[in-house]
Amino acid sequence: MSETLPQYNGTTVISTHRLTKVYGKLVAVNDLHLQVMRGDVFGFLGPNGSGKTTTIRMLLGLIRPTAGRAVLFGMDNAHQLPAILQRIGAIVETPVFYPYLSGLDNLRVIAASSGMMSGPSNDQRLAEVLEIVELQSYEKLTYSKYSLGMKQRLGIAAALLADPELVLLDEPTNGLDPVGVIEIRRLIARLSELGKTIFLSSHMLHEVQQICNRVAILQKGNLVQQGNVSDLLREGEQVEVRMDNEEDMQSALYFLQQAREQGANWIRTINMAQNRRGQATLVIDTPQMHASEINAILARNNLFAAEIHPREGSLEALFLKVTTPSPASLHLGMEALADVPGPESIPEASRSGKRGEQ
Amino acid sequence: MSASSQQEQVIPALPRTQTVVMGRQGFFSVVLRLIGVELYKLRCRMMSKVLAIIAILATIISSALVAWITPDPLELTNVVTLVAQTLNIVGLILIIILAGTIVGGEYSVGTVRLMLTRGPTRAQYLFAKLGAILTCIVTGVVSLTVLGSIVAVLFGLTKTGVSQFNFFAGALAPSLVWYILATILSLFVYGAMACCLSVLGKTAAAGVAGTILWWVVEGLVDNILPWIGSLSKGLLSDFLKAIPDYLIGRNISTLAQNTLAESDSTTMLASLHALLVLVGYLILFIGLAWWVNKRRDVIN
Repeated sequence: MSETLPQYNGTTVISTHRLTKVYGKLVAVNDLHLQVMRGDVFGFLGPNGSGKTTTIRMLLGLIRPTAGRAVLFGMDNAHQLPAILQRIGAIVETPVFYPYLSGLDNLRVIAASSGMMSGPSNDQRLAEVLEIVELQSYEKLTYSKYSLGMKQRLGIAAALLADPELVLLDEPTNGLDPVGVIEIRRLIARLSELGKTIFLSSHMLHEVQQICNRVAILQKGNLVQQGNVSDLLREGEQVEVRMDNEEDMQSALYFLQQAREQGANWIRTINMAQNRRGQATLVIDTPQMHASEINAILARNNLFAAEIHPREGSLEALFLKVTTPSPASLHLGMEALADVPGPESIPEASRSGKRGEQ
Repeated sequence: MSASSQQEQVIPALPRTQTVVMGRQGFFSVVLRLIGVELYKLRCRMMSKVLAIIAILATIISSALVAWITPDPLELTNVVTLVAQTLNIVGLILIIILAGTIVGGEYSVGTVRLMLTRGPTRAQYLFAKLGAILTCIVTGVVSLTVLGSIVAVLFGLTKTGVSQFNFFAGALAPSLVWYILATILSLFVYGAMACCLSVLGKTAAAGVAGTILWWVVEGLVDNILPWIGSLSKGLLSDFLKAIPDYLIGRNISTLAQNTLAESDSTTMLASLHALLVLVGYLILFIGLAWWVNKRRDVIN
């Protein structure tokens, strides 16, 4: 068995090997190979019922895998769960607390349960996490009176309480209004800056694209995509070209196709389409950085583009692409790990990961 | 992959921020800390305050009534017996509610997943619940016994106008201590049952209703089975008559009566039998709860 184990090294925080969970005839998670590196902001995507929460529950030891294993911090969670959990802060689904206790009292209870000293010795830490999630003013309010956003924030405070190395967040923006979503996004960015490894399960693709440096996509329990967000988005990048008239459009199409045949293999496909204003455009599947080369090809042939728009790839497009076809044809299994870079090969910008800042 | 090679690959933990003060991480330190957590939660809870008030009122009323009605001067034995009897009915129901709620409530509200992802093992978590139940029982029985005694003395004074200082005569002290311990054990057996059923049913209602139902049915079976046994003959008759000897209620009564009775070989044997049966039930309930708790997937 050992020869098929994923090659994890000193910076691999989560590594799952053929992790599987079956409920009767339902395969909730199938043969999952995940690898999360220290410092990653790892987006764990998938439609409802794709197995995200089941995977998180298996990582946290709440449910037992039917097959396979999960290794966190180099320790197998089937044997060393307490030591692993001491290094993790987690929200699993909607955070739930004791409704009859105040926010502060709930944190006190969780602090003691997390192995922290009881009594006033940790009061400063409680104040710190309440400040991080901006709940100081509501610390004495009974939890049952908290709004959904406050409950989510208290969940994050609880997850951060013992200063964990890995923070697992399962749908932390569920039910939040746009302001709440932005707050959580900022908070995750802040945690990442503090050096935490974040494992973020979500189906809010736009959020994940903005804050994660690596993603995995699950579909019906199968891992269908895993890799660096920047690499995956690069695959979806396009350049949109609009010419002044139909004749020039046809010429541009001809010369670009010719260029591709002559070796410009960075041009994947060229399609005629209409832009949002109803104008005919050429949509070229190619990394954005080739926009100037496209312009040069056209210019060499005395064609002058009216508009050239480099278009970023979107996680949404990728998500739809990989979750729409039959999952069986896309199931990656061990191959998914082929895309996992070693820590040395992850670009620094990508490690710090904020797509919006790139 | 061998254990040793796994050990070599363990990533060293990063230091925590200085404001996080960790406690001891030994098995019993964690259990004790969790017991503290459970008691803290109980203290903050309205339900436990209401239950405590009911127990106090029941003790005061029953002690006062007996002190008022009894023509002879009261003795400590009578008062302790009375308080124990009150506890064995009112206290029992209250402790079943308490035990069922603190265990089953975690499943109903969903906080069980919060607690089980913080580091303690499931066994530590269960032992903490049982520890909290036992602490509540010991505190309740001792404090209510003292309260009942004080109330009885005060009412005795108002009735006779004479201080009954021989009330506190210590000759029966060892028996009384055993009697109180037997009361604690009996309440704890039912508390453990409520805990077990709450774990099995994953709700407070399963623990509370199941245990109260057991208690009521057991009382009926204790009377009906010997009667049915007396109608038949032979092995079946002996079997039916013997069943009540293995019920919780019968053994609790036996143990309690024998602690105050004069000791001879018969009572010793009966007490030992009762003790073994009760310990057997405790092992069954706690063992079953532990086993289910350990193996179960937490999905709520």
